[in-house]
Amino acid sequence: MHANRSENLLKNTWQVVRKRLLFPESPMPEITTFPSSWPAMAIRNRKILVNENFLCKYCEKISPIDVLGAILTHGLAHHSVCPWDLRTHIELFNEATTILQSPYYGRFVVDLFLDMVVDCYCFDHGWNGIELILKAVSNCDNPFLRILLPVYAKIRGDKPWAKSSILDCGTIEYLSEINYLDRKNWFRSIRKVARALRKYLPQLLSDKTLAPPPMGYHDVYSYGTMELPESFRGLAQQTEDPTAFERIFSSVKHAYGKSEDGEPGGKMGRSLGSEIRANTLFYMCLADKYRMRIRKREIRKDGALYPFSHEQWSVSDPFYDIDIWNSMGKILPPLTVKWKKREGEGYTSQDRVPDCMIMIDSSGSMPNPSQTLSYAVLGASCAADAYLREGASVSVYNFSDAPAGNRKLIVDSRDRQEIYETICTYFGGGTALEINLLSGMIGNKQLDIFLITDMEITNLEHLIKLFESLKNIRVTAVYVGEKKGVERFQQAASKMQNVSVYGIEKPHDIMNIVLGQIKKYIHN
Amino acid sequence: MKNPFEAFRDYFEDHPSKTSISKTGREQESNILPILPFFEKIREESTPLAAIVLNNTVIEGLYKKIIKLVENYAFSASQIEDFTYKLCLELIKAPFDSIKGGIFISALINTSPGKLFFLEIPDSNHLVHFLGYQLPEGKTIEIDGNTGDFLGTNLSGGTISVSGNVRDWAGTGMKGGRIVINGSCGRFACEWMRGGNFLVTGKIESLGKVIKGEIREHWRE
Repeated sequence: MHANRSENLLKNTWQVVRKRLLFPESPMPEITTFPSSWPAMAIRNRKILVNENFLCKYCEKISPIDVLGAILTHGLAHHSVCPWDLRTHIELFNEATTILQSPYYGRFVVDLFLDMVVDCYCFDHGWNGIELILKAVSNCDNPFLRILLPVYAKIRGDKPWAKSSILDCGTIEYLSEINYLDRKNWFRSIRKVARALRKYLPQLLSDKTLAPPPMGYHDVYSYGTMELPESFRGLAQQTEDPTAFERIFSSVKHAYGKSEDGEPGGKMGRSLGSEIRANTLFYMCLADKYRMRIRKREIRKDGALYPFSHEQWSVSDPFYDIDIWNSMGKILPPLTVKWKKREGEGYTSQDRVPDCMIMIDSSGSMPNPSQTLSYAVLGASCAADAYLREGASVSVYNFSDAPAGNRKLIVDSRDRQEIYETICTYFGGGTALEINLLSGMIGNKQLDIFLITDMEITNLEHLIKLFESLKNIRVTAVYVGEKKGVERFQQAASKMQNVSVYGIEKPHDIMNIVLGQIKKYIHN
Repeated sequence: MKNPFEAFRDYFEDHPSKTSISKTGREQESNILPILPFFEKIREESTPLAAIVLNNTVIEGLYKKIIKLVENYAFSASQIEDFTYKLCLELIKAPFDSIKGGIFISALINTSPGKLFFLEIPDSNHLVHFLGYQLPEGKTIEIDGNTGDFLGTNLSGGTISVSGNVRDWAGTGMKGGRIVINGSCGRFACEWMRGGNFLVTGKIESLGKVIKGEIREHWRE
């Protein structure tokens, strides 16, 4: 196909297709050369890349406008009809995988379902180009076509489009009766498709390399760059269950971990969080839902220039440096003095958020964050998120039986992943703190302490003494559950002005916590 | 002033005539509309609850009445599945409805040309009773969720598999076929069982008077 001709054809057809689907925001498609065995198109970062070899192959049988129109309509309908966004895609995939107990089968069923919805939408609107293409594609070994062709023929009320089918009449009838266009019931519909095809899948997908869907792959690389983190954030907030989230995350990673067609998607520099652990990501995403408030405090230290000593003022110097009190109220070069400023630690009354040290208890009495939703880990994640948003550094001291070595420590970090991974670490076992190490870490720093524990700490009295000695440090202590140490700590904290105590019984209690809150005494 | 929506005019005017896809309705509602009047008719009939539960002839009478009503319509598997889902979510308003609904679904399944039915029971306050009543040979029901009492009563050859828990009187009077419960089962299971397989992966709380048949607790395939 000549370059100019194909460019004009693409331009004109694209206008028609956009009009059909009510002008969705989508980048201009491109005609690219893929191997001829590859499907009709690929969608990368919402951009449709049409396979030129596929176009040329079928242009002899069908008019090029029809072929290109059908491919673009199909691609754009994925953008504006089904699945619409990556989150819906992942949720559909999760439904199918739950039924079929295999991400490999789950992906096959999702690919099939997405094409079925989009094709039914096109049939319903009278755009029949896809029918012409599918009838012309004579590859009967393709497992997608072995299902799609008989079902579409049944839906359209035609005689069979293909000679033989792997499905029995009952299954074809069943699949043709599903309401693919009913968006509200997509999740039920995909479960129906998955159940109906369950017995055929081992036979259909016996080859380890999955043949591509006729109209192109559907994978995570088809969507916008920001959709992947957004989708997982939404899923974490919806499930609120680390086990369920981990299951979805690992099956998505397994099925969509790498781009099938390598070239276009593989160079995009995106992958499915190859290093991050599922439960770290879960708490990271969930921390967005429960935000904590921080009370700012007056930070005395400042790195600005400050007046240090006097020197004689000359006419060429600016007026605003003059110290009029020591110049006898006169502007006269020998009498007038100006401030000589020096860079270093100054004293200001600026309200800022100080750095924070998070102390989190991960002893055996606390739940394991990778198995159940741990309020302690969630609370610590929310606190870390709150301080990091304000530009402060966070230190984490994750402990169980710390003197025996069961602790993990990071100091003054702004690396979110490192902080969350340290918070999510679980040790089990007893609970004791290294008081000397802690007091060394705190030193003379102006920081906030966020402690989250069930208060079953062996050396709780030493900890109370430490907090009593830290008069200028704001401590937010949060307890989870009602253990015997809670009462003792509350009693001690009632005498300390810098310690505020909160309890968490349900996740929404996290939002009531105000970090760095200092008690106010009306009578004092 | 030029109408800003003028550009869209020819889209709506030249829109190609829609191809009728009779079976791919836009809404799930349209799929079950033909079934609803029959269910309403059965629901309106006043049958005392005590009579329904205690007297088997009343159940049999009700079942035959439903069969008479629906036998000429042959509803598809998809329609029955959608109706079951809607029944559990919205249509059960009185204690009678969960019994009548269960027998109604069983009658629909037994008269349907479909062979395989996937019934999804959503989490709701109501459990449907009498699912799989007199299920004939060659038909399979796969139930996803928990079911109420009298699952597979008078089963005569079909297969019922449940991925959830089942309440009391499961498999009452079954003559053949197979019931697989991937969960636990309540009291009086298999009362007057005369044949078939009753397999439970969990626990059976108590058995009724069993005459003949295979029953297994903590069963693994």
